[in-house]
Amino acid sequence: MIYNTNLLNFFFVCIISLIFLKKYCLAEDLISGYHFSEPSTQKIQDDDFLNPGFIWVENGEFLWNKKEQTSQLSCKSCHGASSEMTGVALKYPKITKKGDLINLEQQINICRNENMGAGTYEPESKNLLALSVLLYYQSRGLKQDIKINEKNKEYFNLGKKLYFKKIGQMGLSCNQCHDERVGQNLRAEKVSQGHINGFPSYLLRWSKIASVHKRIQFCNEQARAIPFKIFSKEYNALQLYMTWRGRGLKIETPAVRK
Amino acid sequence: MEKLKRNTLKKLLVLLVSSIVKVSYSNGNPYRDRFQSYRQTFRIEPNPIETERIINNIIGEKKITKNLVDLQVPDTVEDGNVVPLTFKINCSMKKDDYPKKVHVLALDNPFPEVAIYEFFPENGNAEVSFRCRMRTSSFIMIIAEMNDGRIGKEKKYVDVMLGACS
Amino acid sequence: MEKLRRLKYKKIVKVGENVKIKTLAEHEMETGVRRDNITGIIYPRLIIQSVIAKYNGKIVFKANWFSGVSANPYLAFYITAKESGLIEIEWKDDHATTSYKRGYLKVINEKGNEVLPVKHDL
Repeated sequence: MIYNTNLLNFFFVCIISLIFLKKYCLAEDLISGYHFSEPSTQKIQDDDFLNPGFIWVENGEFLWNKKEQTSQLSCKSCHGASSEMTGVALKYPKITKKGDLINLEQQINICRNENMGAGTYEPESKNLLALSVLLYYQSRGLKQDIKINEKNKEYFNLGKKLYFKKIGQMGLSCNQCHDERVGQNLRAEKVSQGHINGFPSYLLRWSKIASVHKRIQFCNEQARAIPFKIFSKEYNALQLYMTWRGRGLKIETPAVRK
Repeated sequence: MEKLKRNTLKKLLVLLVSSIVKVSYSNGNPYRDRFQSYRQTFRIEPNPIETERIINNIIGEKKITKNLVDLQVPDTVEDGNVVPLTFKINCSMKKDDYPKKVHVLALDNPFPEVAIYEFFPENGNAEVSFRCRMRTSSFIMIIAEMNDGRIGKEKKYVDVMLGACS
Repeated sequence: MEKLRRLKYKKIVKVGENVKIKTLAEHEMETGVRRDNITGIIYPRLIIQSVIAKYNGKIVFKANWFSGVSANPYLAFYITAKESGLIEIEWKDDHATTSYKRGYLKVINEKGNEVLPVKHDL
């Protein structure tokens, strides 16, 4: 066989230059919030014993196996051991049969209320976050991939609209910082890409685990906007969009962030 | 004449009031909070004289030995709530050569004393790591009181991006 | 729910080895200078005052803490392994409530036999 070496060389150069263009000029790579934090913070996350988030994981494990007085049921009696829940957290936020969008914490509350006959937990309460962290922890290392289909298309569009909407006294939208000013300094902190692959994560500023909704509320307060309520339709839609936006990133829960 | 008198009196009064306000503001009196919305913390100003007194109380007139303490802290930390800190006392940990007490001080904290560790010869290695809080960027000081009366001192500067409340 | 305490170390060690003992306690470590955003009530101070480590009943390490120690406090220190025995860690609160965590440390000599704290003849 006779190869046209000139043509081959030309193709080779073309492919290499395309790869470089993709990697350095377009900069579409997703970077986890882990890489925006200081080495001292990264070190805390790397070690499972140093990481205070594991207190919540262990508490969640305790709650998972605890039988409720009312129905003599625990989470374990239906779902099996917590280690069997691998990959479950990736499907959330999810559409219910009624057509509402709910996240994992709401699902835990629904499960407790309807199937176990026990009372629901307060939003942002320690027990609810402990169970949520436990379930996200089971899919640590797996990649975020959420499918957008006919059912959740409407919520996805709402989330996308909210992401690009200018809010508050400052007139800021999410994308102005987390897309356009990534890596720059916002007072003392570096602007990350705003992915939620580490949530619910241990936030050093409050010394406790915070959920996605609580973190977005805080972000909104910084932009001097009136935040929505936790578990509101808007935040669930935004969470859906942000999960879709970070598809391909690995789950890091319980992550340690500033 | 009458007008001038009144004016000077007015000026004096303004001066007096402003000086009183200035003094009370600079002391960081908590009454200031009555006019503002409640902040998350009330300020207790760090007191350098008090810090000096604490250090002098520990050291006294003893001599400082060099290269006794190894201190590892990151140069910059993101949040003052969690400053990882590791120190090691270079000694043989025999019956006559071990640190009795080790003080950890963060000099610009409202309460500068952070922790006191007591060692025994059974420890084998006088190394401790823990996490402390810091109000602002300041020095962290380790003072080791050895069993035989020697004193080891080491301090390092830590940059804190966001201060903790303590 | 009871507050969580964690204790971790190398379970089987040789005689004379320095064992690193890591502890983590779940505690808010309220400093006493924080106040509620809305009501303005000052939260009273509530911290862990002291941590005491015992090895076979003898105190081998002691930590006295003040309000400058961060929440969910982590502490790591060393002890020299002499004989098998119990490692007990005791955390003491401002309210003088104590919590314990204990574990067994197995020490072996060069031949691979366990070194027991009590001598006995068969």
